[in-house]
Amino acid sequence: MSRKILVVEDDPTTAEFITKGLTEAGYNVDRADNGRDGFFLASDGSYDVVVLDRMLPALDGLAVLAALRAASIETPVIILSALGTADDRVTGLTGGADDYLVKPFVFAELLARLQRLARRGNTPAAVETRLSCGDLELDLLARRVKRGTMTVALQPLEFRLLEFLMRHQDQVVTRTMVLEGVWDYHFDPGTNIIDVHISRLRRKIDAGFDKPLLHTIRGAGYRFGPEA
Amino acid sequence: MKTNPVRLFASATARLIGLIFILQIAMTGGVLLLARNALVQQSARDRQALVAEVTDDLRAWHSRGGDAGLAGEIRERLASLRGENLVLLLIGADGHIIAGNLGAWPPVVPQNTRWQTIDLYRTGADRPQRLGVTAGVLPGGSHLLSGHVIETDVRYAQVSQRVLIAAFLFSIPLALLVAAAITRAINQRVAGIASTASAVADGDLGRRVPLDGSGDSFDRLGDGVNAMLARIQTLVEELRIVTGSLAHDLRGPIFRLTATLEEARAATDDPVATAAMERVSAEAAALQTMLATAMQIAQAEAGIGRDRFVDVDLTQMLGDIADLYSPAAEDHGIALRVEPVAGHFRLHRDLVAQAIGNIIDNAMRHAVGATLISVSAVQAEASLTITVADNGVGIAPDDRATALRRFGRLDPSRHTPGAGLGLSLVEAVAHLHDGVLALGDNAPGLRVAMTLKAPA
Repeated sequence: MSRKILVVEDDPTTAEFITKGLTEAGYNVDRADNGRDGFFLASDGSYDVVVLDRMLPALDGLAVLAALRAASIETPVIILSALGTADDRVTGLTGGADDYLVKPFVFAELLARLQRLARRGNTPAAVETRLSCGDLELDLLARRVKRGTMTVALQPLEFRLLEFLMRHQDQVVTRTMVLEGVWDYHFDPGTNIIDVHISRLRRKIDAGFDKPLLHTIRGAGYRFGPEA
Repeated sequence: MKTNPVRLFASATARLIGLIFILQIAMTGGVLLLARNALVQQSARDRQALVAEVTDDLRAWHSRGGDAGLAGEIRERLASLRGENLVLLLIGADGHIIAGNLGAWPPVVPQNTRWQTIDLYRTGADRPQRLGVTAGVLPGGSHLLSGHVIETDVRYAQVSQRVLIAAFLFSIPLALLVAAAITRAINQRVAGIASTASAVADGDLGRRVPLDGSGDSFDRLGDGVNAMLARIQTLVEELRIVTGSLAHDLRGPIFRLTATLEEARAATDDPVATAAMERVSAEAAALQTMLATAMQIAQAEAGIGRDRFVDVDLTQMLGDIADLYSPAAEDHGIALRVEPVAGHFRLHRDLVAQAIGNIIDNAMRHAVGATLISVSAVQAEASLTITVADNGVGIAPDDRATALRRFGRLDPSRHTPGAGLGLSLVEAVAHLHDGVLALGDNAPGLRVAMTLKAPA
């Protein structure tokens, strides 16, 4: 089933860029170039995700969001904004947005965040005690990880990192998403801080196996899952 | 509040009080001394005139009645009430006493004396008295000495001296009081200007010195300060607008650049083109990071984000940072040690974590030869000092200001990656918390101390 995405964005280049990418990824995309039209289209609640620019003519993005939430429309919303600091992000999130992406962004990150939201919209989050991917198994209760028949010894932090990656299987996660998901900090950690953690984890779970699970996506981040 | 005595002496207020006090005392003392001298001189002149008058009288008697007539007059005058304080002596040309109340001609008084002060026993007196005398030769060869007791004047002078000293002593607390009052008035006017200046320094750029319109020098100073503050405010606002809108406006083009690159990369399999596009992408990402950091600095310096302060468990936060940065540090051959700390502090969690991260990141990249980076936190009553110290090459004291400057880099060829914004952001974060950033010597190595103030 094809998913429906609404893109509310006044800059034609950005709107075209997003629409093209999402269409290629198999989504049905509707577009609005101002806040009023965006609210009108979104108000029937038929979209899986709304991508909402923050600065819009006619009606500001945060106002559209507030109006939607006031009308009890719970469609997941990703805010796009050129206002990029942590504080702007928090304002957006406390305003009812489900995620927040700073311009300029890499399309892969938008797609990753959007997929996560679209999926969450359908499947109610079950309480899982065991995550698995290929021959890798992670037992959340026993805090134990096995690849095939081998037990993998992980530090608590590596365990949390793996858990985060496994919960986002087959999605591209960016470095900032990892920092947010594992450490709950919102900033750019600089140089290669996250890469070092990933490569340590990779040495433990992938080294010696012919089918790697942890992949680096150039210019975007990482993807966890069987070879695409 | 304790005051250091050395500082008290050095304080302009104390010196002002002292100066006004000394001037006042000198002035009072001078006036009193002048008055006293004038009094003494006036009374001496009065006595001299009196004696001259008596002498003229007696000479007139002598010219009429000769030695005998004068002797009678002298006896009569000494017997009268008015003669009580007189001293008169008439001696003949041969030196014998004809009349008078002195036992002998005092040897220290020459026969012709215009005016002399001398201590003498008068006949019938039980003690010597201070006398002012004049002496002269009368026609016929006899000598006349006439004078007046001035001891009472001396006593009067002594009394007046005591009064003067009392007046002088009384004037001391008065002078102190006046000095304190003047200084207080000046300090109050200066305090108005000082409090405005410190409010502006704390970020309240709209504050102005209150003026009373009197046009006095304080008013003119306040006016000048206000003009300066208005100019500063304009410049800061312009800077904010320029930084903000520049960073903001650059995002659009960079975004389109990255978008176009992504599309192009998807469209080609050519390895050379792909590699080139990867490099351009990396540069675009670096540019984007610089812009984001520049905007963060501008916002933090402007005090934006204070509403986002939360109570943070320091153990937890420093532990998180250690977890996050330890593996990268180990890859650089550096151990990252977090000194144990307990406590809570209200701060901007993301920004402070990023600031500490930036310092650690700097140490990993620039502290050549470092084997240990230690992070510690010391909490005082209303402040928190987070120190990150390494044992690498350190930064020479002269270069520390450059290290803190925006886009300032110590590597002249700018070969090492980075925009030189790392420490600027750390400093901006410190300022956001009303704090300061200090670079020091860890002997060897660099010690970066970020002090944050607890929000009021």
